[in-house]
Amino acid sequence: MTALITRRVVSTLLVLLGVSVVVFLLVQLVPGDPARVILGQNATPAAIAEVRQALGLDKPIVVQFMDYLGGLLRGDLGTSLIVNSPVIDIVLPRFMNTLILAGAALIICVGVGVPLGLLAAKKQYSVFDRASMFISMTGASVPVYWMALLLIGFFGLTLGWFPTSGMYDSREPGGLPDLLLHLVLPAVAAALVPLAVIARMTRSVTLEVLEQDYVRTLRASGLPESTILWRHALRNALPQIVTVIGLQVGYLLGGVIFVEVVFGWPGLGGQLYTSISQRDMPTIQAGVLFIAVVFVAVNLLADISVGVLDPRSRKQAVA
Amino acid sequence: MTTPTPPAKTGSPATAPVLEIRDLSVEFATDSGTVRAVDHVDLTVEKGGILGLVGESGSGKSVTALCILGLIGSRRAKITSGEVRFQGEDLLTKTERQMRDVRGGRIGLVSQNALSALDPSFRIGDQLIEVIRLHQHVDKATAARIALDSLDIVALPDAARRMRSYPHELSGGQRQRVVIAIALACRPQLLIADEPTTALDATVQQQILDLLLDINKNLGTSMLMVTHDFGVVAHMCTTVAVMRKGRIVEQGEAGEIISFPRQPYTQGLMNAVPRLRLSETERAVPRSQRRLPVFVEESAFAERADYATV
Amino acid sequence: MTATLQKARRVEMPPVSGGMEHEGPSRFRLAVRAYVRDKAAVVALIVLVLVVLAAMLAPFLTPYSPTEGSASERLQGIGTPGHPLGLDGQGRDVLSRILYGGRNSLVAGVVPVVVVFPIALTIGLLAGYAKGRVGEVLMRILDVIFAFPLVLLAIAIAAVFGAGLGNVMIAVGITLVPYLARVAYTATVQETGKDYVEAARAAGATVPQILWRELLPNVVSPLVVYATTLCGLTIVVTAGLSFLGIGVVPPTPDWGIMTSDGGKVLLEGYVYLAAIPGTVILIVSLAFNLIGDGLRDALDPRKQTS
Repeated sequence: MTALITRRVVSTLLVLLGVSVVVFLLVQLVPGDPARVILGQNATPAAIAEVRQALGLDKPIVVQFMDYLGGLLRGDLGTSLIVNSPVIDIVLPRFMNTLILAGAALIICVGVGVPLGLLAAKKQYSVFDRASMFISMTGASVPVYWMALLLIGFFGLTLGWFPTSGMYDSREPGGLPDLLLHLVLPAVAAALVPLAVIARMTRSVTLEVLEQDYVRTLRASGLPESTILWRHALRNALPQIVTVIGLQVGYLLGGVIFVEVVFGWPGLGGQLYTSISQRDMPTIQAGVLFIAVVFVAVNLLADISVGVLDPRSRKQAVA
Repeated sequence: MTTPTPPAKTGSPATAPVLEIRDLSVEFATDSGTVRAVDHVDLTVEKGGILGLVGESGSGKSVTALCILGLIGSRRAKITSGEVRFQGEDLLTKTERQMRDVRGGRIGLVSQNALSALDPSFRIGDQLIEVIRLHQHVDKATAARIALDSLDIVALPDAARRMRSYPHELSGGQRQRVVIAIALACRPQLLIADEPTTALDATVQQQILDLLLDINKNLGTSMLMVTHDFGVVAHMCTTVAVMRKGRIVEQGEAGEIISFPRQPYTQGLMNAVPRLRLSETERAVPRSQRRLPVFVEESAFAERADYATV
Repeated sequence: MTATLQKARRVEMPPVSGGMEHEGPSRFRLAVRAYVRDKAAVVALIVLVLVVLAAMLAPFLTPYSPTEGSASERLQGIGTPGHPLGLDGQGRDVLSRILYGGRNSLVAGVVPVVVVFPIALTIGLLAGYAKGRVGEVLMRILDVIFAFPLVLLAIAIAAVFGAGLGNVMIAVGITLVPYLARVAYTATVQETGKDYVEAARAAGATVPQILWRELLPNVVSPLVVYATTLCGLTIVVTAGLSFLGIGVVPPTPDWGIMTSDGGKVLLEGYVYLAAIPGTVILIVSLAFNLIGDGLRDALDPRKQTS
């Protein structure tokens, strides 16, 4: 078991190193001289040279990367070009807000998607199965930003049930209940697409499991169908479902960016949106890096859980 | 839920058959019309006896066996006629809930795929305990003791330690012993064994068959052996029914039919058995009968390779 | 049945003579027949064709400019005389913007996939055939790219390049390479292990012959299916980039920027302005997904038999 975890952690660290390379290279892709971009077209050569030196742009690219990586390891993500404060101070609180939103969305995805897929598999070809699979087929194609706007229009404006923007009431912030109220619509919007995919995949994995020979043994032992489904089928489908969930977190995080913009949620996505319009590269880099790290971490977790869940791989790791 | 019914119900004489199937028909709806997989079948399993249900694959023998448990498992299948009388009760009229008490409680199933018949994600002991607690309403410790007893009956080596093993840690023969242990855990009156040795090595096959025979002798469990192998019938069955294209073409005392098969189809099935296995029965079959040109009108199935390989 | 037959036939045939062309037409016809049986896929194809035609024929379908409106007639609802889908916040005809915007959205959604397709196919084929260290290194590099959620990477690259339809297409195209390449790689590795490739090798076929005549036809099928489904995603993503303001430059219309414009007046109660373009995106995306599903079944030999 520990061998399996060690192997996964090591390969994840390599991936993270690659991620930092990509994020670093992002700036190199910016057309033109970053110093000139910062100072504008009318800057004097002397001023440009000064900025280049300040940003380390005059050093060889490998040295620049080592500097960047060293900074990352110290928690130094550079300085914002716009607000002149350390990027980490801007990004970290927003990162927490994004985790809250993404976490809530993930709970909805799993809490609704997995049972939906299981029931659809149980009632294969029934009206319920066809209806839920048609809805999830459609749901998988839904543009998140559109769904977010429609939710605001219907539940926020027409029905007036939920606030349409922000994380807390701006006049009288009300702690956790206020947060939860503000969380509902964005979380649902961000959850929809991955939920649809998770439901579909859960269904097909469960159908496979239900065709296995041991299910017949269980039926012949007199176990009720509900026990077979929720205990045995779910348990055997779980490793594959967890893998799918891990991958869907990528779509979820992508969707969260849009949702944060639409709902004015003070998270990384909203920050990314602002920074892009300001062309604040260090902040953009930091936002991208944080989201990628979350995704990588979630998949590491999913990988390890799959190893723990499957008695066969557990055995292999010991041997 | 009721506690397992005692073996002999009041009112039925001790000699009454455990299982009586009368006029059973099952139809499957396929894309090209309705197929009758089981066609007015009559079968009887005597108390303490072993009935061999023999036929080639697709003859309807497995469907018949699963019908008893109400587990045909296809929404395209439909039982169109007949009754399945188990200890005097017609199982076909029972509700799904009532059938759950019968399955695993009063009738056990040993299915053909020994290697994949156990849930790979649960420990052997837990799978046994789950079934025992379902039918016998005992606490966990008692259930564990019953489970261990069952594993002892099927002679699983090192049973106490094996309770904590996962199926993949066991050999094929050991797994089939566990499947039998689960089927026997609640002391059913009838055990249905659907080609129980198909997935196993030749030497292990013999051990499993001997185990089933021991169980029949020691516990008095009646059995329905579904097989395509007349060697199995010769080895352990008291009565035999030969099935072909959904119909019973011949049935009676096992020794008698092996010695004097009336149907060429039966003869063909017997000849398809590997020599090794047939040796003891062969002596019983008169030389004259063995040389009958039985394949003339049955050439279609004579070409099948199934018999020689298993 | 058919699958085994085909496999058997392929082994028997001298591979260097190119058995594929011989089977070509019947295989194609089988696929078409299987596709037509899938009603959802047929409807989806018809819908998609209609949408494409409508976008192409925009000047004939609407008399209004998609970019110029009259400030006096802004925010008119659905069913306004002369403007069936109403007028937006700047007094522009919504139908015109949907039709003309469709040109941009469809091009931006489909072109990246089409352009990247052969590149990814080549990478996947070569790496999959070489397997060993080359394949290993490639997969490790792809792992790094996959560490970024697709949308995030597209946003990051587009943000770096700056707004504009061309930049969006480049950004999305770069993002898609690893996704398509991985599918081609996996398919190639699977096919390389099969008997007919072994037979071709034994018959003395050169590596280019094996790649081109034997592997390519069998790798292209799954890749086409995947690419079709991907179009459903890229339509949503490219429109999303416009929604975020890093796509088309105003006043150029596209469905994403229209949704975004609609969002700005949403709180004033004009939900339909965001709802309409988003619905069109959803329909087109769903159409691509259904077509992809239909193709997958149609190209699966096991499901071709009638």
